[in-house]
Amino acid sequence: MGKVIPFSQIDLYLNSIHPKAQGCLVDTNFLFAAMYKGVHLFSEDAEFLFEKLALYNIPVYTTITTRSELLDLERRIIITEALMGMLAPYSKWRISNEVAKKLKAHKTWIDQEANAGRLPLLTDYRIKQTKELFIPVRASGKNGWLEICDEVLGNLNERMAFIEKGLGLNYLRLRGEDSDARFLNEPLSWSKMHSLLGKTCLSSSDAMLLNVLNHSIFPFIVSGDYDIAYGVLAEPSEKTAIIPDQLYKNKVKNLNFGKSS
Amino acid sequence: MADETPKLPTKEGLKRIQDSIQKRREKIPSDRLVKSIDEITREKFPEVLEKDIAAKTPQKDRNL
Repeated sequence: MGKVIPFSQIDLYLNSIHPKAQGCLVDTNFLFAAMYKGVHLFSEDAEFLFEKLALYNIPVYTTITTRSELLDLERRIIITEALMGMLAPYSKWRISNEVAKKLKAHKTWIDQEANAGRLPLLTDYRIKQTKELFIPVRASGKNGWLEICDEVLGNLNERMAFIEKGLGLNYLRLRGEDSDARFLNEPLSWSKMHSLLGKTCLSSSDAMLLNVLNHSIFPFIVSGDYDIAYGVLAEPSEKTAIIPDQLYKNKVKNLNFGKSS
Repeated sequence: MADETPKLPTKEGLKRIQDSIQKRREKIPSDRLVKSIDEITREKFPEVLEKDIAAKTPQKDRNL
């Protein structure tokens, strides 16, 4: 049966596994938390864990799905920062009263999210709402959506390369001739992924990650996600999820996946 | 053939990312939103606010 341990037991855990881990999987939540100090509820914990992986020279692997999720989070946080910056009295951006009114409403919502310990990021729905209010190109002295995007998101390709290099991320190529099949104990299949998804109602991206973990040589995954921890515990495989202490203590520690009485 | 040598995470690599995020955020004036008008005025026009405060403060209190 799968196991879950808190970040604080990482030394104990890493020293207990033999042979030494040839790598581990990580999820988007963990990477984002490590990058964004003070934004994510688990950012200090994630930084601590990341530094432990560095200390033990454990390569960090993840899937193309995580790459896509990380890219999306980066897009959302950059546009959120830019839009909220437009409300400042001396912002360089010129916006209509209608846009300003919507941005103020978003700001109130973001503050509420932050106060509740959730990520202070505009949702895609809110970003779309805002996009609809902007004119596409500059007119009547007001900035257009395209020039805003170009300025704040135009270098996303370089930005992601910088992030991936800084994190030392290795993406698993799981299909095709150039695949990293050496990391897999058995081939991956959609049917196995579907089973995982259905078993605990995982999102498809979490199910893909868990599917890779179950069939890979990696003994553990570092995650900031309750669903991943739950999914690992529900599996018969001897895999481990390493999660933030607070999440472990408040939501996972007392989960019982043993035989029903 | 896939590269056999994996990249490794480093403390310095993470720090570089965190620093770049901090630098980006410093350019955005969003944190000013939570500051009072007086605080913003003091930062932008310190002489104006000092004069204003002086004008509102009774003479006898100015030397305290």
